[in-house]
Amino acid sequence: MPKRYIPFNAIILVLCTFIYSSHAEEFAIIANKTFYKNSISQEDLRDIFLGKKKNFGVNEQIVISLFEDKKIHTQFVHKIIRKTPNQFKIWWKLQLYKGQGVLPVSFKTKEKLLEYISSTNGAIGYINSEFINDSVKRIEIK
Amino acid sequence: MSRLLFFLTIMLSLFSVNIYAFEMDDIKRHGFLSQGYMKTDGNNYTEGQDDGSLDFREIGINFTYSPAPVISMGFQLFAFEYGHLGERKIKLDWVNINWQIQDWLCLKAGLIKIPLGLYNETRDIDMLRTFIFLPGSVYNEVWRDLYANMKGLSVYGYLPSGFSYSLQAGSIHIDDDSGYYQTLKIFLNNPEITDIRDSYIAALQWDSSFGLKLKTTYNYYELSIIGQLKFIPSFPETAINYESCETSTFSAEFGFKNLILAAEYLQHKTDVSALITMSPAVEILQTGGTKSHGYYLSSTYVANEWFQIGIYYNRDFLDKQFYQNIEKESNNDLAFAVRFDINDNLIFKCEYHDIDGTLHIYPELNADGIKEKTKMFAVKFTYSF
Repeated sequence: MPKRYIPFNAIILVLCTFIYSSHAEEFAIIANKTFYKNSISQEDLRDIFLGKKKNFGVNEQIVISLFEDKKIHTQFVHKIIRKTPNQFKIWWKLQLYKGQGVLPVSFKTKEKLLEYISSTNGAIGYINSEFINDSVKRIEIK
Repeated sequence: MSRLLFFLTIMLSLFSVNIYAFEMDDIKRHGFLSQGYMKTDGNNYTEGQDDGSLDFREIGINFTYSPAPVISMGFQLFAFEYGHLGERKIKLDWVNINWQIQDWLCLKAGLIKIPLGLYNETRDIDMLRTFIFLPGSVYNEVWRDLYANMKGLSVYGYLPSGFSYSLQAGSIHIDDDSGYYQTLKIFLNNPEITDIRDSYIAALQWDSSFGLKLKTTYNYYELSIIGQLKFIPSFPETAINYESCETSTFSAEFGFKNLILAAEYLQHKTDVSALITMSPAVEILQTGGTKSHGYYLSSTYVANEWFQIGIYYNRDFLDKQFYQNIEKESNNDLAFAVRFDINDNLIFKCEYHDIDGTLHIYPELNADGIKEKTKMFAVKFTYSF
């Protein structure tokens, strides 16, 4: 029985598609261009998005914003906050209902999110990495 | 309070805080409305449960505003009815201003919620948990007003490595319609109760990065009550002075994926002196104390976006050293709950309790006698926005 070879090009094509699609679904941290840091540790990011860390020093205050895209939000919350989206939602409602904060702003579309972050001092958020444009700055995770 | 607001204004001007321009849209409004039904097979913890009662509802609305990233302010109105308690009176649940000066130093002033265990500050918010009734050993349904809120100041903050703390001081107002006062009325004729002037609370919490949360809280207050014992008609008026009331909790919660395990222990201890006025010339001073304990173990599982299930075992008991001659020394409650999230705003819960013991059951609410065992069933709809 003759051996059947899978064309090398096909393997590359499949791999590229896989890499592209997994890359396409990856989130990236973005911030206002005047944001105080270019890179933040995962622990600091967790504290920031749980409202525990709002200051980087005197007059350097952080405003968080959420992206309602289900896939990206879930990925972000799992990886950075290490909670389920439901637990994350409950955490913020606990803060609200015990009188210890307001719910973070959240956006349904990437355009609105980018517009908010680019126009708000100290704003930080997350978005699909391919949606990043020049209006915001990408923050590296240390 | 006005001095406190003045102080905060001065501090705000000293520290550079980015204040946003105000727009009406910046005021956020959230609320909830719940209606339940509860029925027991005989015993009443509150009025009407043996016949089935719809007097089981909560309503709350809050308005919040954040003028700067590190400042938030707001208030919440709340009313509840649990049998003969609550009576749907709308009260201010909290009204305060929060300022995160530094992450390790935050101030909260006004009418503020009281930390006790893991969930006391949000116990009235049904939609935030799987169960209808929180375990009674730590979250006694009848005493909820006593631990609801206080007028005062809280200093809290977030420390490195997942630690956070809270120190709180202030006064607690006890209404005539509160569960605590209503319980006193069972034992005393026309009890007079003073507001708790000095209450001090400390809480320490550790949130690990792998889902484990540990918390301890300590509440201290002093309380004075004057009344005449109902059971002995000729008994003279007695001034009961709780020289110290201490409530301590130790809590652990562990979340792994969609499973949450929790365990809490509470100890309540008082030092009491009673001054019995036999005649203008003869007064008798009796001293003593009370002590009780309680703990629970619970497990909840969020199966998917619309279905949760939970179970807990709760036990609370009087310390035998302090109550040698009292028979009804414990309450053991095994509870099962299911929760359905019909949509983002509407939830439905169903819960069953198998209770052994008569610790929180009073003869005055159970004219037909008290049974050793109780089965309780409850359902509840909650709408939130």
